[in-house]
Amino acid sequence: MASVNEAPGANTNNPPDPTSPRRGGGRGTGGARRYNEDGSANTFRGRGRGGSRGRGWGNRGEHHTNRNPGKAPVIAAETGTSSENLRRCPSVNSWPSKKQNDSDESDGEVCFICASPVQYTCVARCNHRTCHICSLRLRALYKSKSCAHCRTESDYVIFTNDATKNYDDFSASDYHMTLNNLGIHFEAEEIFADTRAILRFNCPDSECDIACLGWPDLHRHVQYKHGKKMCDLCTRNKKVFTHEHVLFTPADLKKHKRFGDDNPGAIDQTGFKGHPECGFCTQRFYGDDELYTHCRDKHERCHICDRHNDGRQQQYFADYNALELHFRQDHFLCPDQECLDKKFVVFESEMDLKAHQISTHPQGLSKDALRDARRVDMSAFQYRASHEQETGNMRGGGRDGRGRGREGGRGRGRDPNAEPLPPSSAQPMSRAELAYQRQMAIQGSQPGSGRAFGGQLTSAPTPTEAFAARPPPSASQPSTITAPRPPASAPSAAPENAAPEAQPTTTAPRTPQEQARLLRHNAVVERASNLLRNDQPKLAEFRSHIAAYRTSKISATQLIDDFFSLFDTSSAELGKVIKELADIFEIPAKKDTLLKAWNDWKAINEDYPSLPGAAAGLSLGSSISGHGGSRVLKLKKATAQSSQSAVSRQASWSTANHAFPPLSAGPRIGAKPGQTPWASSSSASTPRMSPQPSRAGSSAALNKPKNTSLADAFPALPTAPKPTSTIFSPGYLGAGLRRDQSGRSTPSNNAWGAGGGVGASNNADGVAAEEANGGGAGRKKGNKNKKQTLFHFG
Amino acid sequence: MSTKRIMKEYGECVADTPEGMKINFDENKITKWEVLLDGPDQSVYALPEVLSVSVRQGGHFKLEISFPPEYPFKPPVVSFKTKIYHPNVSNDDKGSMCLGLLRAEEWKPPNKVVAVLRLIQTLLIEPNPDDAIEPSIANDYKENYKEFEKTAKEWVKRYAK
Repeated sequence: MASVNEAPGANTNNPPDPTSPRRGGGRGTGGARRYNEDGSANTFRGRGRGGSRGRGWGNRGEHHTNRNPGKAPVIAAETGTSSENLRRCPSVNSWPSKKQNDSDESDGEVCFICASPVQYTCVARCNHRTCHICSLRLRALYKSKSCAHCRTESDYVIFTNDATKNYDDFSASDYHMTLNNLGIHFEAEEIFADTRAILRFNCPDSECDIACLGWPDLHRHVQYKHGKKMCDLCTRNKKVFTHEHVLFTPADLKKHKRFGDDNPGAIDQTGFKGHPECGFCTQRFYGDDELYTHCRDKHERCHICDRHNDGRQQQYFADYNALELHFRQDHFLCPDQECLDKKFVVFESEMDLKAHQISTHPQGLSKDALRDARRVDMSAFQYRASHEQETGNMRGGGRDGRGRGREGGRGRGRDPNAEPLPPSSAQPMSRAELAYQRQMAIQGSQPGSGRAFGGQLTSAPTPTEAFAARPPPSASQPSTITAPRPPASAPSAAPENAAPEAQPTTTAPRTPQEQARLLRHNAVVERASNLLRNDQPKLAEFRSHIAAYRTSKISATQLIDDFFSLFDTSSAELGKVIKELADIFEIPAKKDTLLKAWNDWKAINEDYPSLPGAAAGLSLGSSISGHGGSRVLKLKKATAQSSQSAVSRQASWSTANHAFPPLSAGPRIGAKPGQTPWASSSSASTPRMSPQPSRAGSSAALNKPKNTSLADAFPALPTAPKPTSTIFSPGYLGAGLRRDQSGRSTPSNNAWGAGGGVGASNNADGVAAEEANGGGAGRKKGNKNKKQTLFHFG
Repeated sequence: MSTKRIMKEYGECVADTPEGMKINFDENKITKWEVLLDGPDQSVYALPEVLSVSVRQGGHFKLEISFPPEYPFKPPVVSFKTKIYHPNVSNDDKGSMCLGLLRAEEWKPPNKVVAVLRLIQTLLIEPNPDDAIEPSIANDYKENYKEFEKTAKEWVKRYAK
């Protein structure tokens, strides 16, 4: 087999060996060597059996023996189902029957991935083999078409009974059926039937053979039929087949989310410790990675602190406002309005801040003033001590502060502050400095809240105020965040407050707020009527639904359900309508419940991993859901508990198979072969497909064409808020990026680079800052020089 | 699902434990293995030679290998419980190690824990500063090897006895 070629460290690029050694006499040895790359040669015992037996086998010959039904009764007897003629399970059946009962890794053919016996073999283009379950898992759930062994992409794999036949030896006529969206050829009908059965929305209850229409249906089913719940995070993120999910009682679910449901010592122990929660949002995420992504995207980190503790304890701030507060309290934020707008213009030490101010905001400073401003007065270093208490613990030593701290990546301007030593860099206001400060103050005097220069300095016209002379940052924020805020947080936003109603009751807008409101309102109506294709009765219905909701006649959930049936469109479009609608509700409570209901709806109805095979054939699925019967239960057991009981597994695998009426795949494939290539379905069609299951077949059929036409219909609705992207203004992103970089590789360049960039170009957008970063080296030098002149000690 | 595979791998590891390693396996917590690893002789992580040759051993490092629920489709997570001065091990309370086949995008389901263990050993002997998680240590290693060696040995003495 081709894996023999794999060498450690060169895993990825190995071309598969097209002439599989396995076909010749090498089967056993090939098996033994399969894990060369791992350094353990004896692992593939399943194949290894070929070593003892198979060396002389002609492959075809073996193939035929496999089909010998004579072996089947053993299994049939175990399971109580008769299936002689259909059952051609190759690996297991061809074994002497005594071995079947105690078969385990050492005996039966075992999948090298899941370590469970192989029922059907999956052959990829590179002739590597896995069991069909693992292959299906990779293709359907992990959306990966590459070989688990060598990463060769296979557009198609073959599910076969033949454990040895090479990929190229199959011809089109060998396939009973093909699933184009997954890229699977099925050699026999029962393989297809079994595969399809796994892909359905099977109820996780081991005694229940219901296959649901989709996630919503399944959630409903387990709720009403079994009084249980499924973990929403797991169902959306965990890459397992539907029936492998776990049913929880509400209490268990809580425990599951909070602490996990690990069951130490048990056969099904998972080590799962619960879904981590974001402390700001009190929202849980599937795993640490998801939480990290969330925090990275939605919350802020202080790059200065990060630099000092090397990203050790990752401290997040809820948003930029909180971060800015932290900047004010613990670092040196440039109080200049421009810099506040730009965000992240903050320095580790007061000295850095001053240098920045001199270089960037030298407005109106005379030469003398500048020179004096550069003076460092050693006597004024007191204020540090107080400062130190807040932030003291995180810096390294370095009492000379400046000179030394500069060089090292971390601890650069920080050190002087850290020092308990009284003398260091703060300046008392020289005359000229004071003049400078006053000037700043005049430019826009408002008392700032932050501390710019230490408290001790305040005998002079308080530099704090002087420096923070611009409008407080909180007031200035909106100017950068021009896009509408996420609706949930919007209740305080001005325009919405004034607007009375979702329904058009006012006609003549008098105030700008009303105008804005009307504009938004029109946008909603326009979007709705577009979606409804200007169907007036439907539009009226739309309005009446909203009116009903407004008057609390129906709940938000109902409203959304009504919308969904009314609009008959993709959830993405519906989401836009609902978000816009929520935006124009003036009553925060109404708006919040609507958004919440929408989020809930979404949580249940989409975002789940799509099960392409199943999803495609939902409408038919309902017909079989009643009589899936024992077969399904066994299949379910087989995958779900494959790890647990070899005997029962095998039994179940080899049970009867009354083929189900072709479910999804059949009609779909016939109708539009290749229409949904698998890869695309993962990204493009998923959002559309997943909600569909909740609807009847008709809507599913309608949706596809309509979606595209709708997309064409309104390509440009500029007013439509993009709910997620609005959260971040461009400025934020740019700054965020910059911050990130600074945290890691170029710790010291940044502040200076940014500052320099500002001074040079006065360019407020984040890109400039980025560039400044790039040119940081040069500028840094320049700055350094400048800095040297900054300090005339004495 | 992963249980069976993990058990199987444990069996293999027992049969073929890389030299200088000991796996503490707790049946109640099969998804978290504790591995005791001796710093390889060739590496700076061996205990310094003050000890007589006969008892000379590597520093003792405690590692934890935890298997995600998605194992083997996702890689196991390796972390050093013993502090170690190494470019590829994060210098924090996690001591995490993430490179080569341990990366999610590099990991392949057929990879085995034994391979992971061997990789760790190899990395102790020969750190990979170009794929470092601790840039400063990597820098030390590349440009100031003496210093690196000294610190590493100090840490061994201090933490890994």
